[in-house]
Amino acid sequence: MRAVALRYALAPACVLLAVLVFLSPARPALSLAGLFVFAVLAAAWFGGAGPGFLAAVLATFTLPHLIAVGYPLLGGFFDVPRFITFSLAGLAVGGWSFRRRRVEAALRLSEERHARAMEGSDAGHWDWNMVTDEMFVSERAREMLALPSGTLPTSRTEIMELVPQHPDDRAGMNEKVQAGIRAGIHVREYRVIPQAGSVRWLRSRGKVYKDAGGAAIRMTGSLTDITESMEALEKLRNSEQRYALAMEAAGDGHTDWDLVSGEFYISPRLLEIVGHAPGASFGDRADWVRRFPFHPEDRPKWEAAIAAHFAGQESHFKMELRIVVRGEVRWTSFHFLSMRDAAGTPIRWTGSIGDITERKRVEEALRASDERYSLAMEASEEGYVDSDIDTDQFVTSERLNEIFGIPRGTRFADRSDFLKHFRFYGDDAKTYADMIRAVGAPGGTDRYEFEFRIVLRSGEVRWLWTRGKVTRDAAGRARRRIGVLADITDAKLAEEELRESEARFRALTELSSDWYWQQDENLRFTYLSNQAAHLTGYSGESSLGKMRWEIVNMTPLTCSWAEHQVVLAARQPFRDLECRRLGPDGTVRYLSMSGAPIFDAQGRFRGYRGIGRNITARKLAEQALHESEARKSAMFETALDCIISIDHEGRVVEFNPAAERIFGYRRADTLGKELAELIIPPRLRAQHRQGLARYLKGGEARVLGSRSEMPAVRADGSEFLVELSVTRIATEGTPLFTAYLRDITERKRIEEALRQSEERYALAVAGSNEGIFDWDLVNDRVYVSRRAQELFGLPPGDLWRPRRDWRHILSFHPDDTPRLHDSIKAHIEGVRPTYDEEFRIVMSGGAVRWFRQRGVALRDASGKAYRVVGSIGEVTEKHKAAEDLGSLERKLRLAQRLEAMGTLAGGIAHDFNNILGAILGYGEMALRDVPKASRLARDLDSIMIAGERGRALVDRVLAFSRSAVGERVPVHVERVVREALDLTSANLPPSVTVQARLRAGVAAVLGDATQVHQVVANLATNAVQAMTAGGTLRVQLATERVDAPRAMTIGGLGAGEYVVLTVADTGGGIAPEIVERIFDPFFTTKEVGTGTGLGLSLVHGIVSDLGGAIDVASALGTGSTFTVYLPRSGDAVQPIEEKESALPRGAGQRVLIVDDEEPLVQLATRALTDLGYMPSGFTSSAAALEAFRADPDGFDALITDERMPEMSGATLIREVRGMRSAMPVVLMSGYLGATEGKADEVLQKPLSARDLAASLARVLHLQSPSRRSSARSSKRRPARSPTR
Amino acid sequence: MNRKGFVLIQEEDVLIRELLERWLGEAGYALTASENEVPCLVIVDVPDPQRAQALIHSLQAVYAAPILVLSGRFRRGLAGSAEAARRLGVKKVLPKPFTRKELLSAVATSLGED
Repeated sequence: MRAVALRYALAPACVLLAVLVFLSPARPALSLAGLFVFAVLAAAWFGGAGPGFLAAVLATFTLPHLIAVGYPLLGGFFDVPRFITFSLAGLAVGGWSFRRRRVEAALRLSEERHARAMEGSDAGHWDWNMVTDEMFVSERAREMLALPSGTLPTSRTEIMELVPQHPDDRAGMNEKVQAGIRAGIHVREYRVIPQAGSVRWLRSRGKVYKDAGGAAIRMTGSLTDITESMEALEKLRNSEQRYALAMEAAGDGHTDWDLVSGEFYISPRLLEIVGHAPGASFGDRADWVRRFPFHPEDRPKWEAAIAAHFAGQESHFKMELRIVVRGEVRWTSFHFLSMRDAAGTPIRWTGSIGDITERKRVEEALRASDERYSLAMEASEEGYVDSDIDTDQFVTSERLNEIFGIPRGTRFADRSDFLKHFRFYGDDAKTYADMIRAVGAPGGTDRYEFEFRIVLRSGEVRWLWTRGKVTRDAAGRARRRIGVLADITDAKLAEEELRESEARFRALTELSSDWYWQQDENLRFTYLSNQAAHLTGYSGESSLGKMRWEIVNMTPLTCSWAEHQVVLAARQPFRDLECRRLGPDGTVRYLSMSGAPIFDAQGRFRGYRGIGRNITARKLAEQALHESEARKSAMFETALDCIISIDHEGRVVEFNPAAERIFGYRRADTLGKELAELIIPPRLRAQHRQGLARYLKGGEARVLGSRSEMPAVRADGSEFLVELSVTRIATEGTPLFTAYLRDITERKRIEEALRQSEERYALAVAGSNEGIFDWDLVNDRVYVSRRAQELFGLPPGDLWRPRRDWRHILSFHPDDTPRLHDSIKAHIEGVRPTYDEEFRIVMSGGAVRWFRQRGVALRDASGKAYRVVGSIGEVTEKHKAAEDLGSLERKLRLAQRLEAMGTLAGGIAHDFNNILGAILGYGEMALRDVPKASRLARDLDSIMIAGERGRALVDRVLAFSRSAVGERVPVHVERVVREALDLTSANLPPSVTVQARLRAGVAAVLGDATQVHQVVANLATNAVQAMTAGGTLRVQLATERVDAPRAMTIGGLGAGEYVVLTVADTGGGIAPEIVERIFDPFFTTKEVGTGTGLGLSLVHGIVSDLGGAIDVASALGTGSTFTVYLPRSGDAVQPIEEKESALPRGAGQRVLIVDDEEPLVQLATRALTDLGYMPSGFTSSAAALEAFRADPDGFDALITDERMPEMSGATLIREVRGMRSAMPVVLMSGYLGATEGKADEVLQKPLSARDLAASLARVLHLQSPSRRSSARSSKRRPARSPTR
Repeated sequence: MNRKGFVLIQEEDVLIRELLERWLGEAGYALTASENEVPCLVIVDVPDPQRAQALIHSLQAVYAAPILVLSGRFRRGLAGSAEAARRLGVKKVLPKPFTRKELLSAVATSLGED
């Protein structure tokens, strides 16, 4: 648009210029109309027809204003001829100039495009004027033609000379060009060698322009580098060539089927393979397949496989099948590759078919051979193994696998693989390994044979036999081992069974009590079993080869040797030939032999065989019986007791001489008579007869087998007592009874006398207060009378026991036993005339009682004691009285001494406090007057501190002395004990455990809680310190009513209620000799520096002050128990909750607690945590300061002890205040003096949680929930006046 | 300094008595009686607590003034308490040794000035 506007703007501009020229001084020389014509022409020339016409219109209208016009129109306003002139000139010139300009523009554009295309194109361009032979070559073409840089000659001939063309191509160049000119289109491909070794292919393509006469005048065209495609083409050609060669060489036929286009290719070799004539053609693939000479059986197989393959996704297809070529069946191998599109549909099917008939044949032959061999091996019972030692290939036959219990078909990688399938039995692995090693060794054996055992997976053991041969190379190295192997388990088992059977037989023979013998046909011994040796006393060998009658020391008993020989000669068996044989050791043995002849299958006599038996025992028994009979008879005759035998009817069958003498009958008169008639008093006869009858009917016998007493009657009618025992004689048939009777009249009389005597004695013993003992030294049994047992506190039990048992039952005091032992020994040995000792018995409840034992030994004729008899009485009271007296005296002494010490301590304290008062008072004044921080001030400070320490010490001494002034309120003992115990527990060594059983409830003691606390703390601390190796601290608290006054180790108890505190340890105990001194002030068993020696004296002072008493029980090695009795004063009135609710509480303020005593830190930490503060405890002042310095604003208050080893409380306060001047501080101090004023509050030790809470609340300006603060030991100390 | 009244001191230990006189004198108390002047306070040392009761009774029989008991025989924690004083029938018990401030405070307590 702008261009058009500019063009039109030319018209007025040109007209205006003409007017200006006309109005210039040059006017006279110029025609206005002429000027306008020029203006119109100029506008038309540069602007085109439109502007030319516009200029003509403008000129026409302007003209009349400047000059007079000849042909005026419209009142002289419009000059028509001039208008026409101007218009025509403008339009004509404008139209022409416009067209020309447009053509020029198009041309310019076209050229520009062409140049750009040439620049960007990969192709080069050339233009050859065939008339002048001039040629233009573009930059790219020049590059491609490898023309030298610099100005090129213009002639084509010269240019082409410069191109380094391949000589072959240069030669044919002109011909090609001429041919191109003739054809009108020139195409030539040629090679350029820009530098040695690199060849580039160029393609030149040109068009020929001819003149009207048909002569070629110009050729122009392009040049392309086709090196890449030529190379690719070359490669392709090579590849195809190679493939074709390879195919031919392989002998495989090749086919290629493009499923999309339907094209398919068959290589000549394939035609040959399948038996088609060379050059045979097929309509399509289906035709080819139809005519393919498949073996009738294989066609369906192939079809199925192909269908499956095309349906699937596999790319490879392999198959071996048979074809029939000229009546011969041949094997072919199909190996195809299918290419598929993205959807998996086959698009190309290419592959090869090879003739593998020969291979198949060889394989088949091999298989057949293998099979034959294998079958042969299978049929064999033996397994077969072939081990190639070089390759470690290990082949076994199926039978071998079977033998080894390995599944059929298992193949082994190598021998070690095979060995994994079974295991050897026992040491056979070694046998096998040794064998294999021997075989494998260079120059080893060529053949081997051995047996070994294996264990199958089933656990069955098999015996195997193997034999093999080793093939070796020239160097003697084993190359191959081939062996056979058989299962010989059955054979082995049979062998074993045979052996076992033999062993069994041998064992049986050996075990038999008889011996076996065998003789040959000459009656000479050929075998005697081992028993013969000990049964006859002679070894079997000594008899071998001999006839029986030739054997030494053999005497026949049942018949003579001659008689025996007759039996043998008749080849008759014989039984129980008894002989006597004198052994080599001189003993006589009786032997009995039995034998039978042996005949062989032909009935020929082969000898005798039989057994022999030692019958010596039987023979001797027979003899002994004879002797026994004789002895019995003698005894019967000479017995002192009556021996009478009766039959089952009660008739006498035997009546011995003693019976004759005692009863006054003659034997002959008694035989056959009824016994009852003879010797039983008439009143008892019926009873006797009934008893006998009852027994015979199968009932029980009262008299039989037992000893009884009964009256008997003599022939003269007098009665007397007899002791009777009846036995039944074991006979067959009717029973016989034998009675033994003894006249016991005299014995009865003596027994009665003894009984009476003993009765008298027993009555005397029973009446006595003392017990009796009777020690039977021979049997070592002791009789302890009922009374004595009673005294010993035993339940009723056996009176007689072995002495050992008594000593077990009675626990003698261990201190007494050595003395008792010595004493009784001395008496028994006759060194001391009597035995009289007192001893202690520990009763079942643990109480100890004293007894006195007196005894006297009874001695035999030689003076040897065989019995000790005596009495036992209790003497506990006597001893107790004496002990009590001693104990009371001791206790009194102790109390007096402690009292005296208390008084002394009080006096000393008084004087000392005066002295300390002076030192501290004057010291204070002196300090007031000296310049601060001067050396003198520091020295005075030291004096003050020393004075303070003295004061603290005296304060503790005072605790021991009874001061009789102090606060007395009901103290809730259990609570105080629990507090004190918590404190102690917090500081326990890990090896000590605490068992607390506090059962006093609200029971109260009138006194000061601090005092009670100190008692518990001191006792507990002592107990813990006594257990250096760890142990248990037991603390019990209970209430107890005391009914009768009692003396304790310290002090005495009146009747009344007591709160009893028991503190026990399991430490080393206290030696008895120092028990009385442990309460002394400054007495200590601890190492110097670990204790003050005031703990127990403090306890004593407090307990005495509270009106209580202390009891100490201690045993070395087991521990000590301190029992403190404090008089109970009703119940504590103030419930704990109320007290606690009154304590001021914190609200998360962080409090720094510093004290070198850890228990105190823990106590304070816990108490403040309970009260809602957040305390941080430190036992090191330096560490505390470090913590504060790390976070000065992290703490709200400081609670510190004064005296600490690292840094004093005063220093700590100064340091802290240096960082935070307004830091609230509570000072805990056991002392008074120089530290005052540095803290906001000073608390006196010992502290209570209540005081601590109150002080802390004050320094933090907390609102206390109650104004009722403790009045006891917490005092607000105003800051020291600045005028000091 | 105003004269505060006459304090009678019964202390056998010379050093302690002088110390008492000095501190009390500095505090404005008179240590010697003007004519017929009755003491405003009696300070008495109790060497033996067992006999404290008797001693105090005898003093109370002679003087109407409050009695401040001093003693080297009292434990600080216990004897300083009001309870101990109450048991002895006095307002204040001051254990020895004591500081000047403690003394003046005890005197003030005994005189009922605090």
